[in-house]
Order: sequence, then C-alpha cells, then structure tokens
Amino acid sequence: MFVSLGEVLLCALVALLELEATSVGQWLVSRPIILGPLLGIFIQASAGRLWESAQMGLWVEFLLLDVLPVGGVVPPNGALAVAGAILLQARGVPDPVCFFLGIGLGWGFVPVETWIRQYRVRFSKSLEDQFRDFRGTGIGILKVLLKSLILQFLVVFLFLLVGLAVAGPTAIWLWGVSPEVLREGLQRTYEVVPWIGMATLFWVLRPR
Amino acid sequence: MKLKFRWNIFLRSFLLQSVWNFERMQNVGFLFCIWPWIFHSWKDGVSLQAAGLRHLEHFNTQPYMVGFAVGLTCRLEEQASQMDHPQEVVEKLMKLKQAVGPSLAGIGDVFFWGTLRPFGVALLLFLLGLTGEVPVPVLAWILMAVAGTLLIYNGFALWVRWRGIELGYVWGEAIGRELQRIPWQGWIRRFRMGGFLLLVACLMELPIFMPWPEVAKVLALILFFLVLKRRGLGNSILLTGVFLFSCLREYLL
Repeated sequence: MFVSLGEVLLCALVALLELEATSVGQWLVSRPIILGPLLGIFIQASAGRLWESAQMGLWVEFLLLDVLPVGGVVPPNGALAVAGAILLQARGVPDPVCFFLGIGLGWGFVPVETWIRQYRVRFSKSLEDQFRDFRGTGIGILKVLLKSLILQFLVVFLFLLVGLAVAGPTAIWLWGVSPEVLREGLQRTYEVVPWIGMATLFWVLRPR
Repeated sequence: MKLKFRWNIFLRSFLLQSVWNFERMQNVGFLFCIWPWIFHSWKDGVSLQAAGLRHLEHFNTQPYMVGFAVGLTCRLEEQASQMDHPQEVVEKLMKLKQAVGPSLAGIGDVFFWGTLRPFGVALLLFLLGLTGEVPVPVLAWILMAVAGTLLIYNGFALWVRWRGIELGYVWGEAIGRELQRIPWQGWIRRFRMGGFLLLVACLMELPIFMPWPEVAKVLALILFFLVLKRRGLGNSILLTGVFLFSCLREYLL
C-alpha cells in the first residue's frame, strides 16, 4: 500500500487547515512556519524528530517569503509544501529530497488553484442568477460558500494524497539511483536554504 | 451599528475569500459579510434583491482591511434604505466601494503581507532559537513560541478587522480622508525595525549552535545573498544557482 491510514487522516487534516490559507480567516495557522511545528507534534514527536519538523517549516517559509499574495497572483501553496515535506520526512526520505519535493508540491498546486478560482466563477454566476430572478436568500449565499469550501478541501486532499503516494516511492528510488554529484549538490543547496532565508528576511525588514 | 450586527459581520468577514474567483474576486464573500445588515435595512423584497445583486459586482481588497469597506457600505446602504429615491446614494456607494477596495489593499498588502508577516517569522525564529536555552521542555517551548507568534500577529489583524467595521461606518463618505490620518507608515517602520532587531538577535544566538569560524562563514554567506537580493534576484533563482554551482564544484573536485 502506497499510503497508510494515518497518512490519509493527516492529509485530510492538512486539507482542512489549508482552507485557512485563503478561504477562511487567514490567521497564519496554515503558514509553513506554524504548520511545520504543529504537524511535527502530530507526527514526529514520538520519533524524537519534532525539531526537524519545526526546521522544515521554517525553511519552507523562508523560501516562500518573497512571494506576496497580491491581487490575482496565485502563490505557491505553503501548507501543501510543508505538509508534503514533513510527511515524506516521516517516511524516512532524506531531508533535502523532502524539502525540494515539498516545494515542488507547493508550486505544482498553482495551476490547480488557478483552475479552482476559475471554476468558482460559475458559483458567482449562479448566485447572480438567483438574485436576478428574485430568488436570492441568505441560505442561498451560504450554500454557495459551502460548495466552494468543500471543493477546495477535496482538491487539496486528493492532490496531497496522490502527491504523497507517487512522490514518496519515486523520491526514494530516485535518491538511490541518482549520481553522487546530484545528491551532493542537493545536500549542499539544502544546507544553504536557512542563510538564503535569513538574507530574505533581512532584505524585507531592512529599515527604510 | 448595534453590537449584534457588528459581531455577526465580523465573524462573516472570515469567509470573505471563500468563493474568490478570477472574474469578480471577493464579490460573494463581501455579500455574505453584509447580508444581515442589508436584510435588516431593506424591508421590501425587490429592493433587497437589487441590493444583493449590486454587491455581487467585482470587489477585491486585502482581507484584514475589509472591515473599513464593509462599515462604509453598511452606512450608505442604511442611508439609501431610508430615502424615497435612493438611486443617487446607491450610485455614490458603488463608486466609493470600488475606489476604497484598492486603496485599502494598497495599505494592507504593505502592512500585513509585507511587514507584519515577516515580523512574525522573525519573532518565531528568535523564539525557536532559544529552544534548549530556556528551562522549559522542548515541546512546551515550541508550542509557546507558536502560540505567542499567533497571538501577536492575530491580535493586530483581528483588531484592525474589528475596528475597521466601526470606523468605516462612522466615517462614511469621509473614509478616504480619515484613512490618511491613521499613521500606517509609522507602524510599518516600527514593526520593520522590531523585526530587524529580532533578526540581529537571532544572529547573536548563532555561537550557541556552531563554532566561531562557522559563524563567520554563515555571516559571509548571508551578506553575499543580501547583495544578490539587492540586485533583484528571487529565492528560486538563488537556489537554482547554488544547486548548479554545488554540482559543478562536486564534479570538478
């Protein structure tokens, strides 16, 4: 079996928390820097790797820090990136591979998110039709909202589940067969991520 | 505005972006926010349906700043509902709403996304850097650090969201002038400076984790990346460059 029951439940939990990124609230809970330690508590505390999860959350946050969700920009999905990385980490995939695969999942979700946002146009139009036909109600608006949230939840859940099922075994196989040069290059790049992140933070917060 | 309505609108504003779409952006979420108010203001069904339809027009702003736009809309919808010929007020409302959305987004994007969020990251980084140095178990300390960061960030974001509803309602058409009187720039400067100092403190924690020669190397690396950042290079480009350089170095050695 590619994915365990525990992983399926965690994917559902991440999909639920991911709603917070854009659709509900935006309280920062789904940001990698928060979700990393939280997932670490769920998954890795028993394995004594809680600190590694917190670190993974920090590194992913660092890398995505310079992407601002302004206007119609669809940013990479930080929650998916960190969840993918930590779930792979828990499977024993080497940290550099987890990190870059996680980032890949986050960026890979951009076209899917774009599709969701395009699909939602029909929700908006159906509501307009209701009001144009004098059938608009508060319950009608709420129904549209719920439909949209369920769509987002299901798509994120399936994306993470399939990503994990495919990326996990593929990553372990690729890591085993890739040449030493590539492995070493990936390891070195991963080691530099915190310092690129610090430089990004210094750049963003520099006094002006 | 009664507290009951304000509270209802405040809670609903958390769902502002749940039907975000490329054509009308936050239109459905905005209508959901103000629905209790327009339902209360417009007594006859036809006017209520017309009010609902006009708020399904395009609207977009920074989500934490939406309170101001919602307050303004409530004020003018209320005014319009009390008039025999509300068309003029309604037209004014729609123009103001369209103008206020981008202005609020301009302030909110710089303040929340560009300043407060990086400040939160710097704060959590600093607190996590103290793990093991404070007489608290690791798990408890990480939880406290996360909770503290969320509390500070959300304390500010929720306060702006909540106060925005009231101020937007009180200011009404004067919202443009009144918004300029809030010292946003001062807050941005203070949070940036605070975040910058936290980062400097993080660097001062480095000798706890590594020997001095390593610290010097790290500082040189950060400076090097800062120079590249100044030249406008994004993180993806920097990482790709580092990866290619590392592979090449490994290959040649």
